[in-house]
Amino acid sequence: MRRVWLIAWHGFVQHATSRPFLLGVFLPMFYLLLVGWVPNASQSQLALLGSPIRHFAVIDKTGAILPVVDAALDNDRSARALLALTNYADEHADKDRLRQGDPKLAKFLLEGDPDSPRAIDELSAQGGAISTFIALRPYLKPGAPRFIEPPTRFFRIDLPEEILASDDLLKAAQPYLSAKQLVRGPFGPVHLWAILIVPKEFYDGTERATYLSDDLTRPFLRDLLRTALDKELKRKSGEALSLTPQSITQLLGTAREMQSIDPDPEHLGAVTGLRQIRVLGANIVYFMLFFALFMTANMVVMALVEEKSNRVAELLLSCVRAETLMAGKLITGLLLALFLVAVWVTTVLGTVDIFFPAAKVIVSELSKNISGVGQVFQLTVFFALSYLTVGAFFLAAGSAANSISDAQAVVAPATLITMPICMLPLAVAYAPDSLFARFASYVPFFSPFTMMVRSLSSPEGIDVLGALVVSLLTLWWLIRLVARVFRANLLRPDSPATFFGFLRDLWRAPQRG
Amino acid sequence: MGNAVLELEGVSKRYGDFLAVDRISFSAPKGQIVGLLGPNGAGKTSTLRMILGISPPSEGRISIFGKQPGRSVQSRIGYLPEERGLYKRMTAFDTIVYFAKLKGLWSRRARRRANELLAEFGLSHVKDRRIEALSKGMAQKIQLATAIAHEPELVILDEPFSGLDPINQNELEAAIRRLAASGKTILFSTHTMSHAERLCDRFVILVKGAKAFDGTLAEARAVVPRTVKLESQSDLSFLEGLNGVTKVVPPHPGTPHWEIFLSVGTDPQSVLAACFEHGVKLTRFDTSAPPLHEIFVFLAGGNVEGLEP
Repeated sequence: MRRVWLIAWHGFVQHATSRPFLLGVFLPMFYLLLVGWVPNASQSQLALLGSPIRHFAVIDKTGAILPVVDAALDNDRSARALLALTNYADEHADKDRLRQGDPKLAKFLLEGDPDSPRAIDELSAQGGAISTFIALRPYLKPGAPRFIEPPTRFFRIDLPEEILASDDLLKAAQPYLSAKQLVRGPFGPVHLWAILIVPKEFYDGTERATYLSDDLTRPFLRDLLRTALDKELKRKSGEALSLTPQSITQLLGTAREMQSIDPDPEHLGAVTGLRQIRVLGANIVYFMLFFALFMTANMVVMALVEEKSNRVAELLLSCVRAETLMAGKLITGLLLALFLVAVWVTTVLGTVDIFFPAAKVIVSELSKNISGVGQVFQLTVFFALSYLTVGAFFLAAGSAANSISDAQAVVAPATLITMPICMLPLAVAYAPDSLFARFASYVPFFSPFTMMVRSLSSPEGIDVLGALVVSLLTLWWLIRLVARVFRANLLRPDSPATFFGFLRDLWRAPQRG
Repeated sequence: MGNAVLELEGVSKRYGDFLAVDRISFSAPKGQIVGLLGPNGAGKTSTLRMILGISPPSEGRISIFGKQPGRSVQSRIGYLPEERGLYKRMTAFDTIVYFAKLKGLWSRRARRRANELLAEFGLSHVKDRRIEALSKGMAQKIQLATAIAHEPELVILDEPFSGLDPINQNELEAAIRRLAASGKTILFSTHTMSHAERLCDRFVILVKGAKAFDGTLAEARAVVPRTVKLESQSDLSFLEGLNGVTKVVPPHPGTPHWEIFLSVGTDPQSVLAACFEHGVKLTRFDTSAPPLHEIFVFLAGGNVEGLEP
């Protein structure tokens, strides 16, 4: 065992300090920085990609619409703040204490319909989201984070004089709407997302309002403005019918409250934004693990081929048995893969924390896939079993090669064969507790890969145990098989190796004994 | 042999249909330097690999320290492979330490041995230099140091002199002599006869996988027909009738050099006596022993591709 560890540690140090490996380690962080920085490098690029705040302008020829639009924007801010606050209370409030201590607030935040106009009015009556949060604070669970009001979605700005003075408004606005030119915003240049033109005869009903934008696929601002104008017209109609302002307000505010219930909030089959992020997160995590696995397995195989070609392998075999050498190489690869994943996780978290604090919400949501030491341990165990399965197969293939070109001839088809085994479990990410997922957990070879994905969603204990037994038995059988091929091939002089020759060796291995 | 460290009995090695080693038997007595000689493809490396336990023999028996090759004797053997390869990015010191540890030494002792060997080979100044930055001669010495760092009782060297310049060859020869003087048994393969002739106590000559000779240099010379070189202005054709003379080669016109070929076991002094009897005046009588290269050529039946004098 000491010699296995010596070989493994030596290989690990050799690889972990090599330039190709270091490149592989730090490239993801570099890409992340690149993806984050390039858009920031140019305001114009940022504008093209779409700022989270949509800046728009209104050309109000009636002279009465601007207050209506501003009131609609205030209402939207309040609605979003209320939704965020009810979600916050649902997650972080001690509900029993809240119900006992402030039944009215509990009913408002825990049972109310945050989308209803009455609830928004009630929020305003309580002094807004921050005042409501202050009232909620005594009933929060220990360690609950501070409530942060969601940022404004839409911001009204003034149009540049150049557009206002132009005879051809469409032509003048086009470079701004397409972000080729920027307009002055409250904190610097911004992209003009849309222009609302309200004609003088709007109230008569003879002229329509016009919404100009370079992107009509995102309708939120348009819908908000349409609803605001619609309400304003109804209000005017009420006045024409001699209704009192109170009656008009009551009429416009009439809405049936709707209760929203998710019967199984943890079920990933439900399509919600955050859950999609979680599924996507599972896929990204799995893909990174999969990439780490193949990258390190390939590195170890190439190093073995080099040792064969320069006769270091012969020297090693004069010191240790072929099986010891193989075990050492396998552990080298496993250490490298674990190290790679650890560095990736650390650098990605660090990069997000330092450079992209706004993305912390996404990282936080992704991290919900892995909660607790037990789950991390389970994931690590199945990752290790997956690596050992692929690594053993690769090492046997690599042992047949006497040169780098031989290795490519053998390892490339071996990669193609093993890839479906590793990729198929990706389907499990969408339904980790489905019958298919549970079945795949017990199929030899697929088992550790499937459980790697399922580990991200707390599978049943019996499945974990069963998959562990299947994976270990498969690995035991595979290592015994490939050890024979490894031993026989390591110093075999006949070259070049072929993939079919390798398969033949595997087929005959049980007869070698 | 009673004190044999290594014994091979009827050992063969097959690679598919190719017979690389054909039923060879020999032994290496303790403390001796045994040369495994043969041209390229004679089966030397295959034989060494079987002794090391790297590849099992197809038939026959190998005994090292009374045991089968493998794990139980691995730490008592040091090995220098034919084509030298070390980890290029490792330092000289770390390389010796790593292989010493693989051979069973604990870290502290491995480090001490590495320092000792670097000093012995005059390489202390390159201790922390990477292998890729060393000259070929230096790398060769590091390789030898890795082979003997764990103080093995049997040292196996596969073509240790190949690719070295004469100065490094001499230094390596000296190192091998020091090892032998310290009681190690050394088995080394070579196709360069001069090194073997200077170093070896015993020789095993392989030709096409089969053993052609096993013994000392004196024994080798005894099995090879002798040649007597004479210089005389007289006609020596009468020697053709002498018992034991197989051939008389007359001198080229204008030269006095005669060459007399004798059958195995014939005493060269009988030629001198016959010359005296015939009253021949000799200016030269040379019965010097044949060099190992000639012995090898005779034993190999001319099959000496890749052999160096």
